[in-house]
Amino acid sequence: MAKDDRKDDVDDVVDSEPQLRMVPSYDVSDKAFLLTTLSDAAKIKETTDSIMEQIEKEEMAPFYKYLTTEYLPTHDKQQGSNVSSSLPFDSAYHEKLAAKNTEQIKKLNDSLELLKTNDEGPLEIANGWIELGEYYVQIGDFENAEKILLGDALTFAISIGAKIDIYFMMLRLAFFYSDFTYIKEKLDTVESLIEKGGDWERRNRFKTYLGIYSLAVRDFKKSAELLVDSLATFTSLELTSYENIATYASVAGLFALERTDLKIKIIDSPELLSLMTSTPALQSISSLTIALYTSDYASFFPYLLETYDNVLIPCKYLHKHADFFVREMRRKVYAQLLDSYKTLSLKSMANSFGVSVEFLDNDLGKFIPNKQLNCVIDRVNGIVETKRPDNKNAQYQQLIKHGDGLLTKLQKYGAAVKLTGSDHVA
Amino acid sequence: MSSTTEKAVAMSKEDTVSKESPAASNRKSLEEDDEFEDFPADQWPAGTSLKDTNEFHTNLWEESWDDVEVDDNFTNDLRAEISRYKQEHQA
Repeated sequence: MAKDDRKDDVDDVVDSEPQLRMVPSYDVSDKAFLLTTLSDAAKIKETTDSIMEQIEKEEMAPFYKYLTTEYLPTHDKQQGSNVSSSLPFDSAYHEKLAAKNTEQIKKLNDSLELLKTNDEGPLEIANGWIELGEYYVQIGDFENAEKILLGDALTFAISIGAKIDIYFMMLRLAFFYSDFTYIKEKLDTVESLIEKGGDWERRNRFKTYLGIYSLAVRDFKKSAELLVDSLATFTSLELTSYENIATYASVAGLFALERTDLKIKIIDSPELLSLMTSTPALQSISSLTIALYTSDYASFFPYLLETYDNVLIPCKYLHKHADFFVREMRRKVYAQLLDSYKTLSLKSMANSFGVSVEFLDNDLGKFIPNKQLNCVIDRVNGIVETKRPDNKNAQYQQLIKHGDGLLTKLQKYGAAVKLTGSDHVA
Repeated sequence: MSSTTEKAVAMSKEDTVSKESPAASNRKSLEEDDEFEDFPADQWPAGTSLKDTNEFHTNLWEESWDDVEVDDNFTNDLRAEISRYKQEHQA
């Protein structure tokens, strides 16, 4: 009797509050990536200091080893850089840290044993497993974290909500190590679990995780859909900071949203406005957005470069899409300018942007052959002529299609009327 | 007249039929031959799924050759261009 009562209470407590375990430290992963983009010695020192501080605090021996013996050296090999010299592998230090890991893991395992022998309730045992898995996540031990979390922790989890939280924790570790194939797999699993029994808060959390994944795999449209509207309800501080999610949403939004939505959801967003003064990255992308929206072409390219430098390149999710983003921004701004003209002189167009005619001619030429811009450059006369796509053909096809549909409907109607008519007669 | 044409038609029909059967049997034997032309079964050593490869060259998105080829140096070009233009128009 008593045990049943306790189980009910336990269910209520666990389901109503998804436990936010703030591991792993996403900041360490972000900074490790940032390190690979820096060239200024002072900035490098600042970053490595911050990384080492957190490694020390979170006892991240496995990650320390990976960072100094794999991640940085591989980057150096690929890019011909020398970042790893700023953070060399210190085996004595690693041993010291690893010893702390061994000690803590033993402690957690011992208390688990105690729980089992004392035949404690299912919640205590479930939490025991989660705590062990959580420690592996904290120190960055991917293999063991997966073994524990997606093994015993999952088996002993006492509700669907708890299972979902376990997957979220494993997902965070996968984001930490940028393993996007793994992330996609687990996101699919979580999605089906959520359909079975995910509450509103976990649903929102899932949208954020999926939104960042989409950003990382260049699906800006999907990312915008997921992140922009969820700004007001963002609670996933264990995955990334509020400033970061605001920046991601702004980047995705600028890429994917149409003018009206861009104004309402990004430019006028109270959440984004409130973060502006404290987030330089957000200022850059915001200035770029406003320049586009207000047709401030003179400011556009400078802000584009600023966004490239301050927002895209230093961000581990956006770095690979930096050039792609810049390209689409150019296409967008050219298309927007050309939209108001039938013909426009190359010189005045180039002047609007603050570049030479040669530069503009060359750049426009990258978008014309593949029909990404509908215009023709008349270099002889120095003008750009816009070409509206031929609408007559499309309209004709539409007419035929609709007419056909109408005729079919009339036939069916006629047949139906005939039938009822004959019924009545009979 | 008609009979000869009929005969001709009949003959041509026969021809096509008889032509078909060697063709058919040719096709059949070709198909049989096809069976032996299967590619040797894939023998991936265990543990070399895409996930396991460390060189993650393939992306989870489609990278258009257009984007990559043409824009390799755009931002640097733009930087140079903007400062050049500024200098020109301030002078």
